[in-house]
Amino acid sequence: MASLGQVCIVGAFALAIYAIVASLLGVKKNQRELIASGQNAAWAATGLVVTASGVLLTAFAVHDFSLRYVWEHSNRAMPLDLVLAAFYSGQQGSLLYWATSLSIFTAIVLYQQRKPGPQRIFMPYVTSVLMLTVGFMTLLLGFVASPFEALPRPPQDGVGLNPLLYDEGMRIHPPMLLAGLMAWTVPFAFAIGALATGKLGNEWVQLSRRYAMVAWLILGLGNVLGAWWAYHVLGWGGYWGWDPVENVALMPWLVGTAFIHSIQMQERRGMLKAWNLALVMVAFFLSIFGTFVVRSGILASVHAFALSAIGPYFLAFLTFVVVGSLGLLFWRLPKLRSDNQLDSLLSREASFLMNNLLFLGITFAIFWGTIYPLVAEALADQKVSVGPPFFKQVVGPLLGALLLLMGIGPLMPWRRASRENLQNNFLVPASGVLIGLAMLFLLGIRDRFALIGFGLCLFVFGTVVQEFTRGTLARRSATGEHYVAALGNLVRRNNRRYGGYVVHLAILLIGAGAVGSNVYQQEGQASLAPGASLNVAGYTVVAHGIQTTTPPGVRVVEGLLTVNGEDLRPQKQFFDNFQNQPSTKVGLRSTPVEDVYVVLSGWDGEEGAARVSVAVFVNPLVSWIWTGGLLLLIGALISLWPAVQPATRTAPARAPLGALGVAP
Amino acid sequence: MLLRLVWFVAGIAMLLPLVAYADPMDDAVRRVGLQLQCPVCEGQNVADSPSGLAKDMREVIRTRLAAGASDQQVLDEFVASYGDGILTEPPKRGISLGVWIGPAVGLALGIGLLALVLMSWRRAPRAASAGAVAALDPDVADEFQRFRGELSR
Repeated sequence: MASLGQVCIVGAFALAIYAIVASLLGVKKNQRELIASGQNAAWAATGLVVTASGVLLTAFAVHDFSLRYVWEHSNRAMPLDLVLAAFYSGQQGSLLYWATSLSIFTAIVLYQQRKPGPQRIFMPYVTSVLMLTVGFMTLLLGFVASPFEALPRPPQDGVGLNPLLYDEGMRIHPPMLLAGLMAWTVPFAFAIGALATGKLGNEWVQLSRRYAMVAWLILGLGNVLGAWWAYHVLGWGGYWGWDPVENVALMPWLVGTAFIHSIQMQERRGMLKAWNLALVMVAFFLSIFGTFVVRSGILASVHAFALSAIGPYFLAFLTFVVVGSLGLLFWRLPKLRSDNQLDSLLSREASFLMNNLLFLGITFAIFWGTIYPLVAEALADQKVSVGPPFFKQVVGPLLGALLLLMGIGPLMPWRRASRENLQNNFLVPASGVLIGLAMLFLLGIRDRFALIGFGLCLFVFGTVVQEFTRGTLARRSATGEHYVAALGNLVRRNNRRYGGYVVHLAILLIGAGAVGSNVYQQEGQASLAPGASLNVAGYTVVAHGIQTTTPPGVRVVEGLLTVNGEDLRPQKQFFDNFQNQPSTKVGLRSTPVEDVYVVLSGWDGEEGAARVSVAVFVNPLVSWIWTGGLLLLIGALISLWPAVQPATRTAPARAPLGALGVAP
Repeated sequence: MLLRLVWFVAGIAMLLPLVAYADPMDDAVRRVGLQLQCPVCEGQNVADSPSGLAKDMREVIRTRLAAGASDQQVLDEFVASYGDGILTEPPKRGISLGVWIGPAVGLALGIGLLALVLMSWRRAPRAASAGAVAALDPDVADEFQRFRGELSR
């Protein structure tokens, strides 16, 4: 097992290097065969990396504890699905997972772009960049942090998995996030291809747009699922803690969002060409930075499961790609002039510029807050903690501005807005906001932040509804279709635009959930004797002692509670080998309006007679966030759906004059 | 060997009665604890951290509050012994000030850069002949873009 895996990794490394050399040499000498050979090597490297993953998975499945990694991260008591999740729960395994996901992305790109066409000119460079990253990963896997390190005498049983990782959320969110970070390599590779070939027009943008959208979607879902996991498992009543590891996964997504918006400026108006290249580069740098932070442990984080000495390698690789790609960009800068100027500050173009400013501003603020403890330590040798209050105060207002822009931007016409445009587009949503705010006020909402936040959400909602309504009505009057058919066809035929609006709705749901749960969270703690109760925000929690069960490998303590008469059983789980790290299972009752979230924080006494300590949180609107995540997926899929080709009808061949019987 | 030891410890732990895990907290302690960083754990505050030190700190907070100290006094006492790094919200003084200034400077630079770009676009307008410019008259082009989206068929 060990040697097979190791051979695959080293072979993949060698093939990746060969693929780079062959591709670049093939371009230089103009030898088609050499380029093709480079791509074949990339296919082979992909195959070997995937095989190595298969070997490690098999080792986990058959409990082959002769591998140190398998021994450290699993044991015989674990169910099969968790054993497979153990694959990426440590340093070496997650590196292998990265290499595997990137290899699979490489294969997809090579397959999709296999046909002759204008994109072929980029492919040697695209292959090289992808293989450079795969090569870096396999270098680490083969020679620095191998998951295939053998133990001289295989133990009978393994240590097991970190208890924090025993959760359904753990089986989805890390692989999503890790794959989402890696996926940014693909649009980055096309950007490098554009710079290297000097074909800096729309081709690379159109080629990489879909890959960027997919990366954006995977990373976005990863972040939502990560928040969902934190909410259910970490047990502090929230879903986003501004932890460094959360921040580094959010930053590439924010820059990627800026990129997805800003490329429209290039596609439509030939503007921001250099900027778009820079954006996709920054998204890639931040992805690598993210993997570096997660894996190096330089920043204090609740995610510090697996640390090791691979940090310097990541730093070297990051420096290399930053210097290399920025160098390329500066070299090509003279060719990256804008085709058009900005006509007016009241235009779609200007709102895209504002969008970029805000997204980058937010990203910078998060970046600065995340690395500042390091800066302070280096500059003044002082310990500084930058916790959630900082991020809420700094990022909050910027996110509000972004929400406002999300309402304004799509209603602005390209080039220049006229007074009639503005009246036409903003009258209804703006009056909607005023009516909505009045209703919220009557409902008793007085908090400033809540009124501003919900007001902005209402505004965006109004603009999106207006866009859908107008489009549907226009189509209905033009085609005579039924309303439903008109709406369906409208979305199907303009999927990119209306998919985007659905994503905006998703963001608005997430925003409303964040505002509601931040402003109106209520909580209470108490140590309750049997029969005693605690009141929080209209919910009465009554305790009835605890119940202990011992399924294999774990001891589970359940708090026996009723919330307004219904059973709720929050748990603490004590896994074998990890007795001093109990993991939490939150007791949750979720409705569209609010969640009751109960954490079992302690107990004193035996079973039914025990005093039970609980922390009760009432979190309004949190389920809107998860609904928003689902809608995000739907909107992005609508946007990504292959566009409807305009129906074409072959014109009848022009008949010769004589055939028509026209007398000359 | 190591594994046998682990099993042994695990076995002992299973035999212990379930009374050790209790830590009732009242709201005031939590309110203060949320504003303090747990010094030994990774990125957790004192209110939420399960570590022993955080537990001791909660006990200190409880005692001080019970003795009539205000929230701010308790926080100040922790800052006096641990330094500003104990606060989850970096104070706007000393080296911590930098974290607050940074985003403002970044945003100002961004706005400045944007202004420069806008000015350069205005100063050097590229004439229609210079590049690929929409062939349509601007007003027509706008209407066209709008209606193409809404009416395309």
